[in-house]
Amino acid sequence: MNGHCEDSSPPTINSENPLIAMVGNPNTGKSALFNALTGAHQKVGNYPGVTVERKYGHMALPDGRPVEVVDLPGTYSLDPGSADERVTRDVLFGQMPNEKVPDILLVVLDATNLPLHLRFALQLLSLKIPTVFALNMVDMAQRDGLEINIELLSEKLGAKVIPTVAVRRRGIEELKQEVAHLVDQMAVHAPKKAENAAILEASGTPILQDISSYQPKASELTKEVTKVVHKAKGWSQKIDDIVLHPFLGPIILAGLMFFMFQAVFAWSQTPISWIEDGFTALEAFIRPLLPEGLFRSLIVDGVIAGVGSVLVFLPQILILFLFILLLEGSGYMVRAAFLMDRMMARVGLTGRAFIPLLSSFACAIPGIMATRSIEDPKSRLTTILIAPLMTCSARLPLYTVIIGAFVPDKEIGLKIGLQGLVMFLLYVAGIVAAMLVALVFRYTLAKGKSGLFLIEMPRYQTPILRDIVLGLWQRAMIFLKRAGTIILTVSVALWAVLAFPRAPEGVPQSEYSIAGRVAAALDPIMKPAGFNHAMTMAVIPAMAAREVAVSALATVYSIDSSDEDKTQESLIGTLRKAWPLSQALAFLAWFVFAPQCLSTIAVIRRETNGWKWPIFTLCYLFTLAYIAATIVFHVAQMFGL
Amino acid sequence: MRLNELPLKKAAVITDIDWSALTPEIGRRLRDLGFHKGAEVELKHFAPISHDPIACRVDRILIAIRQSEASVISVKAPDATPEPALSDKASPSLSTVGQA
Ligand SMILES: Nc1nc2c(ncn2[C@@H]2O[C@H](COP(=O)(O)OP(=O)(O)OP(=O)(O)O)[C@@H](O)[C@H]2O)c(=O)[nH]1
Ligand SMILES: [Mg+2]
Repeated sequence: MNGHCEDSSPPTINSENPLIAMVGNPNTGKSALFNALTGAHQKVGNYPGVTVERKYGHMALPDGRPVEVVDLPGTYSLDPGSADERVTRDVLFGQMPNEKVPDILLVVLDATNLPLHLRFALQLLSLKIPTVFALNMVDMAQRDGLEINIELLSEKLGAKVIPTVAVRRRGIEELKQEVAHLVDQMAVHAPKKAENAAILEASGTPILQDISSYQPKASELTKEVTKVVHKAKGWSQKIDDIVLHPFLGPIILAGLMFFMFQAVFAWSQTPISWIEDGFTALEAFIRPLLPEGLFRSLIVDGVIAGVGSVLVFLPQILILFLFILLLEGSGYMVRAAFLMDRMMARVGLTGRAFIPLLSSFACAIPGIMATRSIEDPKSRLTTILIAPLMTCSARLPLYTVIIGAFVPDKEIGLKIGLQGLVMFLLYVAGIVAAMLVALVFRYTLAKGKSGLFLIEMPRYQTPILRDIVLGLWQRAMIFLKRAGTIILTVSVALWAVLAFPRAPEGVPQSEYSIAGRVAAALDPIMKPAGFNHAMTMAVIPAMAAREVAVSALATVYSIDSSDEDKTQESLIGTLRKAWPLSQALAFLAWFVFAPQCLSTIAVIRRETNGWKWPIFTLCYLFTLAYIAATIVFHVAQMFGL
Repeated sequence: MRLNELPLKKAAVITDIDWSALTPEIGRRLRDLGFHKGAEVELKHFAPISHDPIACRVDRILIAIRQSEASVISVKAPDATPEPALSDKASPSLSTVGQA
């Protein structure tokens, strides 16, 4: 049901095959390496805490034998400090019910940061599971002037170390060969493995030394195997001097955000009009082919008007994702979190929460998942509860349609369009609401200190083109799939309740239909909030997905109009005539708050382990939506809009 | 001197961390990120306005940390080399100086 998100995949693995676990500190390139090994397309990004759930994949050894690989969230030690790190510990210690314990560890080290990463390597070695090390990011180490003696490191660790560059697929074959070697040995030493599992089983978790007790040895080892050939160029430092500048930093961040939301609106207009023209042409082509009657109405009013009106927004969604992928891939995310920490602290959150909240602009579901890396449970809960207030990409179609219909398309100077500005203000409205709600929660439901802000700031990376293109492609496919499944189904279902019973001559079909009667029955509730029947009919099916609000409006107005109007009038034009501005504004206000997304509710249930918080989220957000729409409507009316 | 009181971009060494002033969770995170006696540190950036949080280098990584946590970390500038030349980059060998 989560059309939108990377779900916690139940393992679809063959438990006969050996299982290899990818372990290591956050942001060392485990997922990049996992992708290179298995051909998977896991999300890769330049900040700690990208992977928050275990992901399984298959890999063939050089001789063709199959093995299973699991990519795990990064962690600093086996003593977890946050929910994502707990996943890693539980997988390694066989505490996931009905899941296989890994047979082999593939420990990923960042070559540029050995003192820290070797500590964890040493702790992992104490588990006595067959291990191979991938010394990743050797390209970065080289650029920093570090020369690492691989043989010596292998010897000291007592396990093979393979230098790799995950993003350029260097060292992959060698890694596979070493894994094959370990698999061969496993067959010989099978009893030993069983013994190891028995120890785990008997003691629950093995007794581990504190991670910092490995520090002296890790530091010494680093010193022994590393030679500094030349000084690092430090360009990451130079970027930070500008980006984290006490004065320039916030200006750059605000400018970026403004540019991003403005671009989502401005850059998409041309491609949107192409797709629109395409659908108009399609409709003009199909209409004469079908005999007049119900079937033509289903295709034209239900499928084309419904799904088409949503598909049009693909360019917008891709532009938004492009920005988010660039922010995530470059390493700027953590800098933004740093700049925002003080402000977030004012409402009882930390800069950490900024990262999931920014992801929520794309979609609240991965955003809510990403809160797993927030250490403090109460900060995490608050972040989960406010994530649905961030303007997700599913709201874009509706916002764009309403803005297109009611905000004049003119420039207000500096090449800034008024429509884009209104879009930006809607984003701001969501953010401000989220901050206020967080403040209230932190003083009531989730009382406590503002939590901990302590985070690694990775070096900048040039975002990898392949990752960006792949990310956009995946997003486009998800969107098309949604349009073809949820949105199509709901549009057709809505068409059905709109098309029956058939209205007598002179009565509008939508009013006479089942849907129309339901909307009329809800009038006493919805009218005070400024809702007309079309709005009510759009809001209900939009529970399945927000985009459906647009397709529903398209279907409602399409079914009432005569065949000649249809080809001439776009949805935007129709709305402009049909609604007073006060109603349009009330509708926007509703969608800033309303939790119109069942998948989000389902994820909140999973992440909070119960129904209490998802039900609470539904209640508080619908209440806010209703209040906001009512106030906006009446104030707008007072001003005669 | 405390970590948050260091002059910008001057390398120093951690001499002591007052673990008792921290909750166990915060203590663990500090250890996770490589704060330990003898680690080389350098204050790199202040957040705008309130100067909180700060960004500092610990051994080879840059870490964002709030003033409240930074203030329990005692540091000492290495006496021998006050000139800025050293402040530039972490050489991994320096990271073990304090432990020797
Ligand atoms: N230069 C360079 N960059 C790499 C290499 N491997 C990965 N990266 C980059 O490092 C960043 C982190 O990669 P991920 O694969 O997301 O790291 P991860 O270990 O899965 O991180 P978490 O899931 O957060 O624990 C990304 O920006 C990658 O593009 C490498 O060998 N060289
Ligand atoms: Mg990962």
